[in-house]
Amino acid sequence: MTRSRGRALLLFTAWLTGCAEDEAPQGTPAACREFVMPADCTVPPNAVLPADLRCTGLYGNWENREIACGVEPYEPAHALWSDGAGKARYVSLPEGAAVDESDPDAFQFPVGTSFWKAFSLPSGDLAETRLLRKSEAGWVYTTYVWDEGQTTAVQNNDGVPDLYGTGHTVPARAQCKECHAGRPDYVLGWDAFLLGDLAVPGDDIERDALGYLHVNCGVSCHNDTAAALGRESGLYLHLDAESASSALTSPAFLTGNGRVPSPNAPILDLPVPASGPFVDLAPRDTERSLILARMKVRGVPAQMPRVATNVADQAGIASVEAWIMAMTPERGYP
Amino acid sequence: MVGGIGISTVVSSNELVGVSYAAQPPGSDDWYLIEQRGRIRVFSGGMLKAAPFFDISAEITLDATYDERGLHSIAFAPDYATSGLFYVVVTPSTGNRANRDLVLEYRRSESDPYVAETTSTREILNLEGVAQSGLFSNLHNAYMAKFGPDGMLYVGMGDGGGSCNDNPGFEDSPQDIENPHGKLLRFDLSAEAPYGAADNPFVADGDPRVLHYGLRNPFRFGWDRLTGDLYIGDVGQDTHEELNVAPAGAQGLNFGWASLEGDEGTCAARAQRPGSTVTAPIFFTTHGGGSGLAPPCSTSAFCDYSSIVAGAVYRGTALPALQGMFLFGDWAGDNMAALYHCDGQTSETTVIDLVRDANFPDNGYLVKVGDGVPDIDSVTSIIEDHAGELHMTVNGTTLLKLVPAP
Repeated sequence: MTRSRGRALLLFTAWLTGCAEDEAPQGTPAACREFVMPADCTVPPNAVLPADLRCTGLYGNWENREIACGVEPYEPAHALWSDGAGKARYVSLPEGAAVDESDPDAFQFPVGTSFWKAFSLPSGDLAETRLLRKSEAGWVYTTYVWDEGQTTAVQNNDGVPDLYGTGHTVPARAQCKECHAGRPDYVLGWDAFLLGDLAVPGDDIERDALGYLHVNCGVSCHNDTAAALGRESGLYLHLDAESASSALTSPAFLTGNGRVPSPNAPILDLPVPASGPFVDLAPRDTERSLILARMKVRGVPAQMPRVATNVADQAGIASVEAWIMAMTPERGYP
Repeated sequence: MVGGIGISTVVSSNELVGVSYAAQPPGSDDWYLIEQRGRIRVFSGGMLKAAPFFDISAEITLDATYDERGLHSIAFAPDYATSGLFYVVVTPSTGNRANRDLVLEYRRSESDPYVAETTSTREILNLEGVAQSGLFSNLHNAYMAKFGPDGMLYVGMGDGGGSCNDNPGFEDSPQDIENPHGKLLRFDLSAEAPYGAADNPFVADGDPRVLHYGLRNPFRFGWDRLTGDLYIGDVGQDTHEELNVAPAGAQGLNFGWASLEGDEGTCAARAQRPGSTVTAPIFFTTHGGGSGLAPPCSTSAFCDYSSIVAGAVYRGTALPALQGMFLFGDWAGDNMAALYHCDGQTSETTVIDLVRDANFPDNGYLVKVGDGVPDIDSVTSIIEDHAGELHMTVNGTTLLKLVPAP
C-alpha cells in the first residue's frame, strides 16, 4: 500500500472532517500559490535547512501566512501532549512520490518529504514551527522560533526554556532524536493508527487510552525498535498491526500488566502507594499503576513524557485512569 | 573535512565479554584482546583462539551494575619476541589483592607461545586501593600501561576516586608529588624497585616514578610516533573532559586537577602545588552542567561526552585525509573527533559522527564497510597497529579497523 501526494492526503483529511472526498479539506485554501524561494535565503554553516522559515516551502504567501500549493494540513486521530499548546500540522510529499506503507508498522517516506508543526500560544501567537525533512543523506530537522511581533521565524537549535515568559519550552535540536530515533523512518505522528488505516482496538475507553499511550509514549520510546530509548525497559506502549484486534493483546497491556518496574526506574519522587508496590499497570488500581503516577508528575526524574512538557495532561491522565478502572473480569481482564 | 571514514570488523564475537583494550606484540599481526573480567584472548590468523592467553579471572568478580575494577591493559616488552615478557594492569576485586592497583610482569610459556605462565615474575606496581567495595568506591584506578618511544614503561594512574578526590587517604593526591595517584608514571624496568626512571623529575624530592601530575583519570594516552608528543585523555568529573599534551621530552607538567577541571575551578577546596604552573589542556569538552568558556552544552557536539578516550595521531597511509590528526572519542559520546596539534598550536576540532547525521554535512562520519560491523554503543580504546593504522575496541565485543570509505 502506498500513500501518494494529493489523493491520499485528501482522503485522510476527509475522514477526519467528515467531508466527501471531492470537497475542499478543512484548512486548505481554495486557491493556493506555489512556493517561490526568496532570493535572500541563506543556510547556516554546516547545516542543510534554511535559516528562515519563509524559505522552507511551507508558505506560498508569507505575508498572509497562506500555505503553499502541495502542502497539506492534517490532524492525527490522537495527539502528542504539548502542555496545551495549539498545533497545526502540515505535510508535503514530492510530486509523484508516495509513502511506502507496505509495512503498516514502519512507513517509509520518500526523499523530499517535509513535515511542519506550528505551535501556538494561548494568545494565538505562533511560538515555533518545527520542520522535519527527508534528504538523500537522511532526516534533517530544526525549529523556527517566531519573534514576538510575529514577523519572522528563524532557525534555533539551542532550545528556549521559557519562550518570552509564556512557559512554552522550545527543545534543543539534540533532543529531537531522543524521540524520533524510536521510529524506523523517524516520523512519529503519521502512521496507520493515527491516519485511521488501522483501528485502535477496544471500546471507547480502551481506544482513548491506547491511542493516547501510543502517540505519547509508544511511537517514540516505549517500543521494541533497536534505537528506542525505552526498549530495554520492556514496557511497550505502542500499537502494532499484529495486535490490533483487542486491547487485551495490545503491547501496552501485555507488557505492562502486573509488571514490576525496572530497578533503575526513577520512582523515588513518587508517592508510595498504600495498596502495594508499584507495577506498570495494575488493573483497577490507579494508585499502584506506575504509568499513571509518572504521567501525573513534572519537574522530577520520574516525569513522563521526559522532554518538552512542564504541565501534566489531565485529559490524558483521565483516559488512562478510566482504562485501568475498566479492566474488569467482565471485560476479559484478569 | 574528513568526510566518510570506513570501519571494518577485525573480530567481533559473542565469546568476547567486556573487551576494553587490544594490543599487538612487536613484530606480530596477532591481536591480544583484554577482557575486563580477567582474560586475554588472542585473535590470530583470522581466528579467535579458544583458550585464553592469560587468565586472572579468579580474582575478579565485577558488580553487574557498574564496576571499574578488573583487567585493564597489556604492554608487551619491546623485546617480547625473545624475552616473552609482558605487563598487565589489573585491579582485582576479590582475594587478598582486592582493590589494589597492580602492574605485574609475566612471561609467555615456553611450551605454547599463545599461553602465558600463570605466575607473575615481578610486581612493578602495587598500590593500595579503597578498602571497601561497591559502586562508587573503586574508581580511577590504574588502567593503561604502554612502552614509550624511549623504551620506558608508562602507566596512567588515577587519583583514587571520590568526589573532588575526597576518598579518605587519597585527598589532594594529584598535586602531591610524593604520592603516585593522579599521575602519569614512568618506569625503567632495568632499574631497582620501585623502578622509577633515573631521569624522572621528582627523583630527588618526590615519588621517583612520577613523570606528570595533576591528573584525575588518565584512562588512555599515547604518542605521536613522528614527533614524540604525548597525548593524555583525562576523564573529568562534573564539567569537562580534557585532552592534554606533553611535548616530547617534557617532564613534571602539572595538568591542574583537582583544583582545575578544564578551565573551571570545580573543586574549590583543592589547590595547585605551590610554585607550580598549570599546563592547560589543548581541548576540553563541557558536560551538561558545565559553565566554563567552552560553548554551552546544547550547542556543543560533545555535550554527551562523559569519559574521554584518547586515541592516536594518525601516521598510517590508508586514510590520507587524517594524516597528522589526533583522533579521540568517548565511552558514551555519539561522535569521535580529530584535531591537529603542532608547536603548541591546536586546530579547530573536526567532529566525526559515529553514525552520519544529515543535519551536519561538514562533519566527518563513520561508514560500515563489509559484513558484521555492529552499531557502536561505546568506544573504549583507539589503538595504532604497527603500520600506524587505527583500530578501536567497541561494545565490549569487537575490534574495528578504520579503513577508506567506499
